Amino acid sequence: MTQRGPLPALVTWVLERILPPDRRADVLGDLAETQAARRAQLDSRAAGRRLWREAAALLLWRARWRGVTRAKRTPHRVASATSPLMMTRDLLQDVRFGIRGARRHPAFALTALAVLGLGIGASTTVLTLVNHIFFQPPAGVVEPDRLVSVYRSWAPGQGGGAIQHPDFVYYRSNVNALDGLAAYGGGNFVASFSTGTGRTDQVRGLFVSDNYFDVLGVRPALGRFFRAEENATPGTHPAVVLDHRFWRRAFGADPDVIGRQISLNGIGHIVVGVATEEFSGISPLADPPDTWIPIAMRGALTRAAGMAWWERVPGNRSSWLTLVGRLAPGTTHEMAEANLHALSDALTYPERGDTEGILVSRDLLYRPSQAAQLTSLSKMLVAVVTIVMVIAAANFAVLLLSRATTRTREMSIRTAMGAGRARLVRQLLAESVLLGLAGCTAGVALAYVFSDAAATLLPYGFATGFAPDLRVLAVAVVLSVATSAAAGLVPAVHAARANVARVIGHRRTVTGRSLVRDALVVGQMALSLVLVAGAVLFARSFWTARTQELGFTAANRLIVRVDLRSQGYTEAEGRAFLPQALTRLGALPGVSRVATSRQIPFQGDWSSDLEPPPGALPNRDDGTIWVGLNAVSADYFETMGVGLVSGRPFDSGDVEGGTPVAVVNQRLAYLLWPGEDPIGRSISFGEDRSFQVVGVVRDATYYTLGEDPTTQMYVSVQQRYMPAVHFVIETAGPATDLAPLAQATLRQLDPELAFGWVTTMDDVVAQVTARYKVSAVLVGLFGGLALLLAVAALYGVVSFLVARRTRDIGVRMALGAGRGRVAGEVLRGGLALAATGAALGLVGAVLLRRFTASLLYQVEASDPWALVAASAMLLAVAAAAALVPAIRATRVDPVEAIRTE
Amino acid sequence: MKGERLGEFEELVLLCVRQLGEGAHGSAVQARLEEGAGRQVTLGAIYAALDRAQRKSLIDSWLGEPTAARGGRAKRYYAVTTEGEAALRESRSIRERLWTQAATEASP
Repeated sequence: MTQRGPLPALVTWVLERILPPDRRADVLGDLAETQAARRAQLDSRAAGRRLWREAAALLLWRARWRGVTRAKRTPHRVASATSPLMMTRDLLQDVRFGIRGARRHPAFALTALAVLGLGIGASTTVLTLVNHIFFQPPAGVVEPDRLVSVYRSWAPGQGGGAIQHPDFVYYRSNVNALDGLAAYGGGNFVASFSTGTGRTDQVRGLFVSDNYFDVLGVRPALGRFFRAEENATPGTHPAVVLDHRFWRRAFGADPDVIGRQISLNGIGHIVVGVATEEFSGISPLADPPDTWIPIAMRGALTRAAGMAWWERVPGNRSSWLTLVGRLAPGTTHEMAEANLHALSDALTYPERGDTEGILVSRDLLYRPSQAAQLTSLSKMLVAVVTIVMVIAAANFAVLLLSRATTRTREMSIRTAMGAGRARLVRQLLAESVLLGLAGCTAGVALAYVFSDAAATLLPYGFATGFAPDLRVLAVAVVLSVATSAAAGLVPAVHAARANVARVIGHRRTVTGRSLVRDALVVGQMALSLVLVAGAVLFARSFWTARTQELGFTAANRLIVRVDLRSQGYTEAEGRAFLPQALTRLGALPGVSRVATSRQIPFQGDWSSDLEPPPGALPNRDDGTIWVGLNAVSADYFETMGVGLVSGRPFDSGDVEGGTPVAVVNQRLAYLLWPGEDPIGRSISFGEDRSFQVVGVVRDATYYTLGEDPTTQMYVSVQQRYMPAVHFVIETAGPATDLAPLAQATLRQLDPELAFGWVTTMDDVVAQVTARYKVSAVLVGLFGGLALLLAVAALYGVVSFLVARRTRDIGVRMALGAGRGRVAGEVLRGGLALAATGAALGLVGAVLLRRFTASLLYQVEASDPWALVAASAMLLAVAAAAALVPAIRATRVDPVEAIRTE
Repeated sequence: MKGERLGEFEELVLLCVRQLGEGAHGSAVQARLEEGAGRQVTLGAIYAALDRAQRKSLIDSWLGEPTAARGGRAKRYYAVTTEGEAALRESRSIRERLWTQAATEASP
């Protein structure tokens, strides 16, 4: 630091700028003298410290400086107002004025607070959702942005499928751009679990490769993770790592759990480690695993002997793994992707499709299909709340404008007292930012309350609750300040201009109309029309999805899934178990019917290709017929509410060893035997598998909502044994009420039974329609909010105009104008604004249609009825809002009105 | 000056100004005060007290000629006015009255 005399240049520079001009010389002189004396007495560090204290004290003095003359301050302030200290002081004064003003006009302050609070609350809630969904890296994972996920793709750019174990081994041993490639899969695996003390329970397990934790960078809290040999050969090393919460719940956080044997599906597993508390898997979605098990144990645990879960078996494929790899040091995502794609291109085996490859994703948290859905939903929500926020800001600006007109007196007095235009603008801005911050507080409070509720609307359940974090709060504050400052600028500039006009001597027009305010109201109308039109579309879309004819009955159906094979049942044991279970469940109070089914709608397919018999119509390009399959028990059709068209359903006579029989749906019957009676015909899948058709049932929905009629063939579970079954239980009351009793009843037959999935058919359907519901509910809510704000602004403006024109109206009524005519004029004025807004909004809605199309179910994004309905709604509400002040206008007493002036 | 009571710090500053006579400027007052009261005082605090006293017309101030000793910067000199003198005396007499009262009451 250059030193001129005893004072550092910086201190001199700063003080020269902040000191009052007439005190600069003597104060700096005094300080220099003092400092020179100190440097003579003290060591330089102590002297330096004293100097900084002096400087600070001078700043303080300067900030409070009020001069020495007793008289009022001279309007010398224009010059001094540029100094930062003066600005701070002015700002504090502005804030004080603002708070005082808010106290004096509570109605205005509360309205502004409500408007901003709702706008910011909506934005913060959506921000909280988006932040939680996309910007929360999995806890306990080291450098998650250096991880890549690998999926199977069936065509370039499309994919998200699982990968086979042999392929994983191939990639793992050949990839060199990665520092480790791990695999996980079988996420919905549920095992019966016992610690050997007699009490059994069930646990969720995730199968992982031995290097899974290493690749993620997770350390064990206790014990160790898996070793390479524990994953080398199928079924030989039963080991398990416990989730921290599960360890606390099931073992009371016993540190001696390491080395203990626990039973999973009846197979003893050694507990080798406990994961750290923060780590609960990669996925943020609900139901994190309780245990991690080596992928080599999958065959033993699910009794999947002979299935292609480990080796590549000709003609029989099983892909079940997702891969996750960590970039090697110095490697970029692009290099890793290139490396993996090259490996995939080099991989060939007979079953591999020509277009098959891999999809390398940087999204660690979600599968591509989930990510796509969440992304488009989030984009839409962000767009919607942006519109809501703009409306709130415009609304706030209108409020401020209206208030500014009632404050012209105050402003002119302040101008007369010497306040500059900039000073006034700043005061108005400070006031609006103050309100903005208050609104921010209210909005954040709303977000705390509603985030979790909004999250339950999402198409996926999440493991942890939603609440705004610091990042969201920071954005909310910035948003509030920016919005309120932008809104505050409008009346501030307006007021400043009005003052000039006043000085020059012009009077403003009698009507009190303001182009800016009208434009703000029209803008709000237009934007809210866009949202309301969107809300109507989404509501229709959800309604269409919800009322979609399913072809089966969803209400009051409980579903309990049991995988007998993984529970260690042989086929004979399983065949014996099923009828007993059906009898017991059927005898429960409140149960009307029970059946089993291999397939549950919307939960994937089981299918086969069929060479069509002569005369049949193929439904595939290669001339074959694709047939969806299901194995069901005798009462299935009645229990599911699938109507019988002809023939008979399965009955107790369709047993093992008897003639194999089948029930087909109308679509399959039509394709196989167009125009003929299918009963008694036979369907054959090759030499040894032939079924005689005994019945035809109605088409239903099997895979996706609103699908085209799809083939379906049912076989009897008695004839075609299926170890994994869903019990479908038709109940008299709400199905969920029966869930505990149904599970208890099944456990009477087998105390160690684990239930893979317990749900209701209603929930299955709700899950499918959830993506339409979330748009409908949130956009409906936000659209309603937007409409409310816009209409409130319209009401305010029309009321204001009426109040302003009271005298005018009085005079005209005294001159003979009818009440109807006066009211009509006011109403027309309001409706003109609304109609202009609606027209602009229609244009906007049409322009945005591409954006909404992907989120709609069987509804056109430019659906004219939705636009008409939205416009009608807007105009009706606007008319109602304008009607109140219009009626008030007719009540004007001419004599009173003229006298008040 | 009835009603204008002196604050403690203000009184000390005024006493220093009075004592310094002709040469009473900011840093001199500061040096004298630190010496006499035995505590560290900043210029900022002294200016604030001086400003207040001047607003109450207890002191006067004027700008001297620039001197080479201070890098060509002028000094602002302060002097106690007659009102200031009166206020100091008033303050002193209150104290003395109280001290005497305390002394008489303490010795029976």
